[in-house]
Amino acid sequence: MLKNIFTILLLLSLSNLYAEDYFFKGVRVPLDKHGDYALISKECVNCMAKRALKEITPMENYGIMAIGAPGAKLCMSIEGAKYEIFDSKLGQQGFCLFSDGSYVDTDGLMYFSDPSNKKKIDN
Amino acid sequence: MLRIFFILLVFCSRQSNAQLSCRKRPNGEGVRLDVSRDKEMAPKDKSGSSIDGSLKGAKVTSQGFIGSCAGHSTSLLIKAAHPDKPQVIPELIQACDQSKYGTIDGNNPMVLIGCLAKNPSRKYCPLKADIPLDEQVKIKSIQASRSKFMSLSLPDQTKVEEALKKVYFQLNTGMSSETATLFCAKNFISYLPEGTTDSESLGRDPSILLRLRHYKNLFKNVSDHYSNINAKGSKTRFIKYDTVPSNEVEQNQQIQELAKMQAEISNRLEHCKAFSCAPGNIRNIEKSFYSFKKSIDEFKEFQNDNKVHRGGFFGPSEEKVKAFKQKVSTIRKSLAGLENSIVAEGKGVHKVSLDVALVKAKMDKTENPESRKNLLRYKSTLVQLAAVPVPKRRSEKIRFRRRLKAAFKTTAQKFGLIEEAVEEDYKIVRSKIKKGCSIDSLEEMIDVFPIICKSGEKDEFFEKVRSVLSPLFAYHRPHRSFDPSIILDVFKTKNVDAYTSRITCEDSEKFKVPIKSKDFEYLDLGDFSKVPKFEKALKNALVRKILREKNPKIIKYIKKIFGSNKKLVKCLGKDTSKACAAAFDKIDVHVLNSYTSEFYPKIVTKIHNKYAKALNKNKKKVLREKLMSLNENKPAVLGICSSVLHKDHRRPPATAVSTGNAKVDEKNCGAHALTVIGYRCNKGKVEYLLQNSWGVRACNQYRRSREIECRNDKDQGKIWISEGLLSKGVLNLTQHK
Repeated sequence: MLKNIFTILLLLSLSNLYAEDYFFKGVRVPLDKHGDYALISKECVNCMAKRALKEITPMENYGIMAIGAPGAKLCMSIEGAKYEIFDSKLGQQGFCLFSDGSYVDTDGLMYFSDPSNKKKIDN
Repeated sequence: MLRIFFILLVFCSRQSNAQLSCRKRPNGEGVRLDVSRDKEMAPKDKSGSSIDGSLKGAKVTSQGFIGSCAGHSTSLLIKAAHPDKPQVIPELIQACDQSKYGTIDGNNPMVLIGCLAKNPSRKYCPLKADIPLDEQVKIKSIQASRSKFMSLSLPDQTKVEEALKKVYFQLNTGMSSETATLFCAKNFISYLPEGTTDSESLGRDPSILLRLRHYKNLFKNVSDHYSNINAKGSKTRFIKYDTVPSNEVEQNQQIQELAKMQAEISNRLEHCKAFSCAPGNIRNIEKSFYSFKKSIDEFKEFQNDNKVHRGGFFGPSEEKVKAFKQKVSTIRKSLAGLENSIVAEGKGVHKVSLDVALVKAKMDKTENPESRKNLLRYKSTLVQLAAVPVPKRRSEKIRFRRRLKAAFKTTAQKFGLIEEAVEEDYKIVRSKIKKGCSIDSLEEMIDVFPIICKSGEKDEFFEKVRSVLSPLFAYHRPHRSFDPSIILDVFKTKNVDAYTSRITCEDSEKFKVPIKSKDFEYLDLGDFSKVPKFEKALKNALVRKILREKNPKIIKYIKKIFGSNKKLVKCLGKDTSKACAAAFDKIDVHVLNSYTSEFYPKIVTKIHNKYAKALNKNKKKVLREKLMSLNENKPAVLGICSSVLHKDHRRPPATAVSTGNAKVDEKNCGAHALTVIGYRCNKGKVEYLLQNSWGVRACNQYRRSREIECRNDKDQGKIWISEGLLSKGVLNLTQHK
């Protein structure tokens, strides 16, 4: 029984890894999950990516442009941030990169741009 | 006989009206093309057996901030039409038609298909070539081929490998060295041996060299500018003082101020000559330089002001002019000397410690990060300007130059530079965008404007990497290595050429698929809007507007378009609507709308909104008919108003309106394209499965609505959407016949 549970847990963790494995130009990108909401660079304690999650405001504040993915545009609205696309087995995902080397996925950025979600950010 | 005819008639009418329906069908029943045969929703063949969906295994691509949605959806459309061929890189498809790149018309895949059909020689590179792991393999092969290089008895091969990766990134991605630097910076830190001190670490940050070169360039521009003026002037040299200043004393003060500035710069540079410049010194030079430039600008301004007051002042004395020229020449020499010393010492880049965090911490204290950022921004602006091809037609060329000049002006204002310097820099960047440029100029990457390499020969690549990196490692000592910041980024994804040519696609021919426009069907908004009462109302309103039109430009345009209809042309601009309305009878309302609606966006929107319900009902019907193709394993690309999906648009539009007026359309609609890859029945209602290009995790980008279902953990960039909401946003449809 215990063995079965262990196997199930192992499989679950493996499937999770599979889904969250991202690469950037051949380099595996180490990621942590920030709750269920964002993928953020590993060991990001007081990094710029986390600061961005705390400070980001909705896109409507920057004016809506017709072109491009909303998350990418939100990232581009951050001073000094850089937008890049990472690859995974299943597809591509946009990430927002910061000058200290930290990064966060644009969907997470979109999520935390909503003021009501700010309280879910870990300190 | 009559009965048979009747049965045939009923059968045919049923056939023509065949459409998706969920009446009496259980929840969840439907089709999706991204699944394999073992799934319930896999499409069926003629015998009713499940088959692989034509988009099974297709990669979910992300358009990022580029307006390439049509390219991404067309990539899927072509993949579904030719499932045995690899998926083509969406940006390559999009780049086929660069005139539409990033514009509101960019959501029309038919434009791209037409372009691909007309240009069969274009490259069709498979998305697979971009699989990251492949690149790792390539990097390994580079390692294998550099045995000689490795025999330099370097203490840490990993560092060399990282350095190679760095160069490799820049050469092969054509856009991301800055990012690569960020990434590698992290990696480098981890390679640092414990206890590394910073006694020699801050030796020289190559970015300082870059900046100095930049200043030197700017300086050269400024001084050349004044040399030219000197050459042209006769008695009134330096600045053409053929005018009287309002205050002579003020002018003398200006000159003294300028001389003071130059002296300050000279002094600071003298200190730097011995190469003892800490970043702080450089920062001061930077400050002085900008003050210097500002003074010169003030002079220019002063000169312009003086033109108004003509009189008898003849400017500064010859002595002062001489003194100024002397200063200019000293500064120039000092800068040259400084640069030479840096170049000579530049070989000692190896002395730069790898403690990036420490370097950064120091730099943060002593440098002005804002100016560094500005420099990057300035360069990327220039690259964007330089990436726009010069049109061939004369008339377009003139317009292009005018626009370019305006862009120089804006850029100059934005970055506090003089226009001449911007223009000069533009020329440098432009000269560096070369076809087939190899890594010959790898050394130039440490120049102010790195060369933009479009392709690189493999062997040459190895050789060059070796020759460039060897000096860097020649005096290599333990725990010292290549500084990632030696490579500076100017590449941006908006530079279409650099972006699309980053992939080496030698096997392009193998992946080519025959693309013919006639193989695809295209329905525009007119086809979705065949509602008689709406058409009548729209036509009446447009005719009324056109006949009362007083704007000569619009009348001229309409005359040009409808020139063959003499009766109509005669009526234009006259309020004789009753007599002239008949002239419009033969013109299809949708044709009329497509040509004229951009002038009357308000009225067009108003009428669309008034008949929104009927229009949406008709759109649903057309969608259901056309998307029967899903049962035949064929996806369709929909052009839609992204405002139906976008989280930040408070309400979806009542119905999609394409007025042709870019500003109005961008605000109310936001043209977007995505692929319909399935449908299902939910409580008797049809829902469509859309594959979007906003990334595999995109759920937070959509509006919160019961009509949209999105799960980041399962859907990988797909959403289920109610046909009600989707039909509100539909602008056009493209599918493989």
